Amino acid sequence: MINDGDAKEIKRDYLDILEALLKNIQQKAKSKEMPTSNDISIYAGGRQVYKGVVGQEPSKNTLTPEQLENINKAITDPKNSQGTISIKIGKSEVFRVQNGIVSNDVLGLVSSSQQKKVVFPERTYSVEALAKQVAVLQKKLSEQQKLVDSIKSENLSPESLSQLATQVAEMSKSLEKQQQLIENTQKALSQVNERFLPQVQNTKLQNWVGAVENNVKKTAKNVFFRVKDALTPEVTKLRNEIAQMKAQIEQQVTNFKDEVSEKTDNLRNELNQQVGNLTGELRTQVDDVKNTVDKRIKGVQSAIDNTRQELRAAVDDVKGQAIEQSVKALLNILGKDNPDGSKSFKSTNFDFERLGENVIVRAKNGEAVLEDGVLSPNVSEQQLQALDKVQSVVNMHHQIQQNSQQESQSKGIHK
Amino acid sequence: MSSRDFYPLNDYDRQEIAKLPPDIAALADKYPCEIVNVVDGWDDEPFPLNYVPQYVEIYSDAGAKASLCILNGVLTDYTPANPEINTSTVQVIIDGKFAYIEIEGRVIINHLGGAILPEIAVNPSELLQVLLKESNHD
Repeated sequence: MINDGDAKEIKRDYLDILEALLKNIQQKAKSKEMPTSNDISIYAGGRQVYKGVVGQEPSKNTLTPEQLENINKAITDPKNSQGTISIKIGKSEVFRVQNGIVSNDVLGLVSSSQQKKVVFPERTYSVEALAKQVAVLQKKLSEQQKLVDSIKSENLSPESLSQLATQVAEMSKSLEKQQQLIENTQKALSQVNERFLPQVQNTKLQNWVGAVENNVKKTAKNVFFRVKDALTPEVTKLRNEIAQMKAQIEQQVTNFKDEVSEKTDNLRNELNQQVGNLTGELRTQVDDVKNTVDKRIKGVQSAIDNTRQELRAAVDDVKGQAIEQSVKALLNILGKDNPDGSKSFKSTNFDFERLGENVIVRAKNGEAVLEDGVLSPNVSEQQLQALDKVQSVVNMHHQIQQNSQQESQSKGIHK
Repeated sequence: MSSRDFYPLNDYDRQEIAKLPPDIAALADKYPCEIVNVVDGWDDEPFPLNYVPQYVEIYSDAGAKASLCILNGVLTDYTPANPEINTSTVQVIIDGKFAYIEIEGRVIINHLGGAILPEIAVNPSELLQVLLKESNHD
């Protein structure tokens, strides 16, 4: 929304522009020695929009800001002005621009550089120009076709393929523009034949207008058919060719994608296989290590067991021999001489026997507990404790003997 | 697009219009734009014999765009109207002067005099140029 302040600002700008414009016209007129006391009239497309003498209140001013801007543009940048702008001093037209073309500028309002710009229109419309543009597209297309053909035989990189797709898309866009232009042309040309210039009462004028109209219509008809006959089939052909090329490229892209996908799948499978193999191998190795460790642990355990057994055997051995010595001493003391020359003694728990150097101790059930200085592996802890006492008995006996000897010795001394 | 668009007349315009014959001045309320131009061209002299115009421009119904314009023998504007539109006014400008104004079939100004209306050979390229420029402005 425009507030009061903005509106005042716009009005001030508008008045400044208008004043500058009129002063410019006045000064240029002075320099060309044209009378400046006359009214300056400005026309926008046949309508008088301003009339007044510079420095005085204008007698007429219906200029809108947009019209003023367009008039200003007609002088500063005529190429981009719209419609027809005409400026008169008194009865003489001093400036005229129509559709961007300056046809009258006796005052030199438009700078020479701007004049140059409008002399050469940027774009020329003609069937030939249109045909030429279509031909350029055709040439481009045939070059692209060669590239597309080469895709089939060569291995094109994804980059080149995408570049080619972009080029074809751009070409398709150019063709669309071209086609739009051709359609606009045909529409404008057919409108020429459906519409009419005004009827004029004056015969001279009417004949002239009629002649121009006929001429224009005849030309338009010819151009219409030329466009239709010459350009339409070419454009249709081009459109089909581009569509085909697009399809070919898309096919290539699809193929390429499939190939990449297949390769990826293969690679994935291969990798999975390798991972599987490795895992298997690792598992085997781990199992091996585990087995080895288990075996070794078992080995160590068995070694410990062996050692323990050996140790025990050694202890039993020593013990057996010690017991054998004790048993021998016991039998010497308490043993009964048997006819076979052996000596034997029966205690509560054991039967002791010696034949020569061989000593045998049996439990009451007849099982050998000690034989040839070796304890039976089945000997119980109780039996061992009982056997240990043999030595105590022997020692005790020795003590008694010793005591009695000392006693008799001391008796003898006394004697 | 037509004279029916708002075109305000001020006191100055009314004073000037009052100088015209009353039957013509009476048209001012309906065709203000055309009548102001009639005022502008009323006292002009007809074009001398064999006058070769630089340009001839025709407006119908005070449209913003010229129906026809020939500049230096070249077609520069061509805006025909739909056949169903009944044109009420025709204004012809030759080299900045209102050479001919017709309102409701009545000739108000005719200063064509001895002006030679240019013969033109319509060049297809120029025609396309004019037509496409017109359609681009639409």
